[in-house]
Amino acid sequence: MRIEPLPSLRRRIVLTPLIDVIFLLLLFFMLSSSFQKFTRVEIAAATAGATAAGRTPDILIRLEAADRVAINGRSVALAEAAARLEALKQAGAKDVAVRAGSEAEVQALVGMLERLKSFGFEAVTVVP
Amino acid sequence: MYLRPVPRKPVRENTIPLINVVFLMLIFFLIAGTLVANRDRDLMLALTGQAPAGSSYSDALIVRRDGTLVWRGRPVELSGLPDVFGGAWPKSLKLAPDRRAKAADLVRVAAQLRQGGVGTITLVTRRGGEGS
Repeated sequence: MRIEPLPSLRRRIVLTPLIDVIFLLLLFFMLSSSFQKFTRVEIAAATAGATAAGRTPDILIRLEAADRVAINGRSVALAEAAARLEALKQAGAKDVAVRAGSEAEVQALVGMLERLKSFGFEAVTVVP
Repeated sequence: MYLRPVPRKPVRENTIPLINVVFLMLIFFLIAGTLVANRDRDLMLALTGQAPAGSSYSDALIVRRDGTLVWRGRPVELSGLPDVFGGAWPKSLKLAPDRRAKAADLVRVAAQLRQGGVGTITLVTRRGGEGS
């Protein structure tokens, strides 16, 4: 008896459901992923009245509104603050306390913390 | 002269190139993006220049622009936070402040966390880029 081979059915694979799912995945990841580069800034908060090191700070910086800071009570523009801090660092200042005025925003505080770190101050404390 | 229309066979559109492109886009978004849980669309993180790389604010205490606190998508009071952690303050905590929030609010929160016994407080910021 001769058995004829089955005629092979060449069917195309249906791709539409696959595309549906991939599109959905793509949409999900496009909408929910974020492309921000996160960074971190350590903040040493002090309880009222004491710095982290438990000493009186050498420099007290008070953040005021509109790009002004008061360094040891003297109000200067933010641009001049760098020179002033450098001079104080040369004079041997180590501990810094940063106090936020009622007008200052978080961005100013973060910027100041970063700047102080780049100047190489060892103990920077944020005081209320 | 009468021209008979050419009988057209319906041609199946070739979907393979489309799938290829969509696949590539999917892989791009999978690799390049990071998923952030409890995403806050109003939150604008503070910008930094050369701060070390950190992680997202998924597990951070968010300080919103008006000074209110959000933990894991739910608004919380600072005094209610130990209950969230099971009755005790955590050893370390990440804070994600909005850059337009009052710095004094942030400092007050940080001081209270510190008083409660939180050892390390880290701010979640992001790399400041052009156009953002």
